[in-house]
Amino acid sequence: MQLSEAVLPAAPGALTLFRRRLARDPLAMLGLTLVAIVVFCGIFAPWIVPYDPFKLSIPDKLQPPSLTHWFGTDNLGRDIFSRIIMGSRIALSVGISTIGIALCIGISLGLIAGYGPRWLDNFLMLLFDSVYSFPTVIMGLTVATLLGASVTTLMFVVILVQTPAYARLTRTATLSLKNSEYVQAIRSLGASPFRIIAVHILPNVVGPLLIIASMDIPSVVALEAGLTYLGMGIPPPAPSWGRILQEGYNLIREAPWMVVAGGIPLIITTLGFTFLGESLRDMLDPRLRRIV
Amino acid sequence: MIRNGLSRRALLKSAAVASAVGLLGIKPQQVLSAEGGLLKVRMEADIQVLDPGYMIGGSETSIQYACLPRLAVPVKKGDTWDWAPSDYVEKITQDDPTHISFTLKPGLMWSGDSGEVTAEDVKFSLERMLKSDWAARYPTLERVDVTDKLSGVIILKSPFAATFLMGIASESGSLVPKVAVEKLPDQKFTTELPGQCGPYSMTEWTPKQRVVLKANPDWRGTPVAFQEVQFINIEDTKAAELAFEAGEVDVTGVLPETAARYGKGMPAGTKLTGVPGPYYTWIGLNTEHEKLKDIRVRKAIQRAIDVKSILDAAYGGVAQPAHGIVTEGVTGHRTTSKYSYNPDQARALLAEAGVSDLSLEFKTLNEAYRVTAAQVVQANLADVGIKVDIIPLDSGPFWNLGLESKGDEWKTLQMWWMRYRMSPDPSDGIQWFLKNQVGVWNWERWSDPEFEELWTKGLSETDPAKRNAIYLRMQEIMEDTGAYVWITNDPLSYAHKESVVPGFDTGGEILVEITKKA
Repeated sequence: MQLSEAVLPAAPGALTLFRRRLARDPLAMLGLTLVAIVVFCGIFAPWIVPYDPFKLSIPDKLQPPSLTHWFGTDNLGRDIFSRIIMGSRIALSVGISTIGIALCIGISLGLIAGYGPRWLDNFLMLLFDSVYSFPTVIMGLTVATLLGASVTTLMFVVILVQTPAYARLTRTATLSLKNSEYVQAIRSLGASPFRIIAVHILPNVVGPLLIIASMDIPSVVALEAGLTYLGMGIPPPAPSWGRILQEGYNLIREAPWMVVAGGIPLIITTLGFTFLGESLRDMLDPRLRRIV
Repeated sequence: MIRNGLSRRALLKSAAVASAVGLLGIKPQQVLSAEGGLLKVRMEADIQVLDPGYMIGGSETSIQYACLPRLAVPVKKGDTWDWAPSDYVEKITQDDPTHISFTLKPGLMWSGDSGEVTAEDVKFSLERMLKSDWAARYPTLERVDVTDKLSGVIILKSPFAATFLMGIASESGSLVPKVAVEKLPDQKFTTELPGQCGPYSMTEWTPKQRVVLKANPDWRGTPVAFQEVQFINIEDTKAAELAFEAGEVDVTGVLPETAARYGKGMPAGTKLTGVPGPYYTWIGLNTEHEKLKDIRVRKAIQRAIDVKSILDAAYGGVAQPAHGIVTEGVTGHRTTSKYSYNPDQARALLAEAGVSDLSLEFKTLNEAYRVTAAQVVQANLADVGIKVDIIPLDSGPFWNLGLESKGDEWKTLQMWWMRYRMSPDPSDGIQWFLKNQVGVWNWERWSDPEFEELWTKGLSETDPAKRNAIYLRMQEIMEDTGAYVWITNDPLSYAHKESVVPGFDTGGEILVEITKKA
């Protein structure tokens, strides 16, 4: 008997399979939900904040959480919940933009190092390793001290720290692809090095890097918060989560809710991006499923 | 089958829990006992210069008192300060308004190979102050005559009411070994004392961490209560308070809001001691900066800042507004200012000056209450159309901002939050605003002939009423420059263990050699 096409179930598409896998993984769904909350707050912050996050109201200072102020007020009478929502915009803009720039620079340098002459590879590797060897926070504090604390300085630090990591990964992938048969074949047909890199190597290295970069976003958000907490990040009155934490720490005995409120979004962001990134990696790379 | 092993998820969960604990500020406290012969005192800023002629202040003062000899010491008599002969002298007397004779005790030996403490050391130490950054502490000193190995006469050009409290009995009266200092480059020193002779010896300095003093076994003066003193560097006062509550320091200054909380209930076994406020806090404006050259702009800023809101937000509402620099209870204390918070007037002055879109940098020490105050200032000035960028700085870069000897930062300095301390004489607080202090501590960079003239008059004036009038007028001149927004004379409170009775100098610095066990 021959089965007609009409009775055969349609083969699920890649996207459907991916969605099904995602839906079956509770941690992935949790991560996705948390990330969605943070992204939503970041995009719509100015429209959804219940109060002006910058407006001082000294008579209302240090009010505990209530129905009026869900997370209470800070030492200047500002609504902490509004500041946290607005802070998500800062966290995401710093996180995504710096990772994006670092990724672009890192991939470019990594491709040059991997495909270029040996001496250039050695020079760039020395450069990457030199930058990589500095502890991140110490480097951040040093640069902030030299250039002054600002959003630009903070972004510069993050780009400086993240670029070598992406460049090294790209270089390794490029080296393995450089002598592959298909690249040799294209080269023998007279393709220029630029074309080989841009059209034939880049698409093969960029995918895994995007996943790694997405998992780096919470680290950058935490770094921003950490440097701001140390007074070397985004200057006041910007409602950075790190600043909310710092101000909360200073009043930990008088107003403990400030520290708790400042810590919650960092936890949510870190867990969200990490759970989601890990799940995506598991799904895309069968070798990494489940067990370390 | 249950597989033993570390899954990535488990690792992630553990990391998440650890992160949460860290983010919530929960950390294990390592409680160190500080009983017995060890006293741990929090120091706000690390030492930079121990040389009495070029020091900055803070714990440097405490170390000078503990490790260097002097002719006289300050003593509290009721609500006022007086002086008394120190343990280093046989006698010191004011023979007449311009002559002070002294005789050192024999056998006081400097550490190292500088020999005995002699009258030559006194002459060298006091006369070098006249060429130092702290020359204003000896405004009428002419010279020191040595009469024999241990005796001499301090000669003043004219009488000065505060010669002892501001000079001889203060940290500026610290003696240094002539032989050793003369061998140093530029005859100056920084963090290594060229010779020591006092109840304590400085034995260790770990930058940004601690300074250790050990009781001097050869000391023959009043015995000290603690065999070892550690000054622990904790810049942030809130962190110092937590360290105190965890038992990691025995004595620390606390913030006004904490003092208010401690007033309702101290941690077990601890006490709060209030010290009459020796501080004066103001917002300074650089009169030479292009953006602030117009006095109308400066006066607009004076009127745009709501000091009461600053005190409510940053000082827990326990501090009173100041109207000058001289603290309460001291000659020349002002009770009113010629300006008050008036944003409408501020806007009018800015309009009159034709200034719009003004943006300023506001620099402050990176201390929580100062940053809080800066945010109030930022909001106040935004209200009248001035954009302010707050730049919090660590103590090192901050204290170099206005010093011409430390770089070019003074050229770009615009507005800053400042706090000085003074001894109980108005001349001590006012000296930093003289013409010769421009580029040193007069960061506002102005001078005025009448101010200079009054300064000279005030030094030799002995009539209290006339002296009071002189210093009131001097503060009025300062205010009229528009370069000052008076904030407060900070209330000063120390938290300490009940077992410790801290001693203080006239400026509210802890003197460890007179700190006792309860």
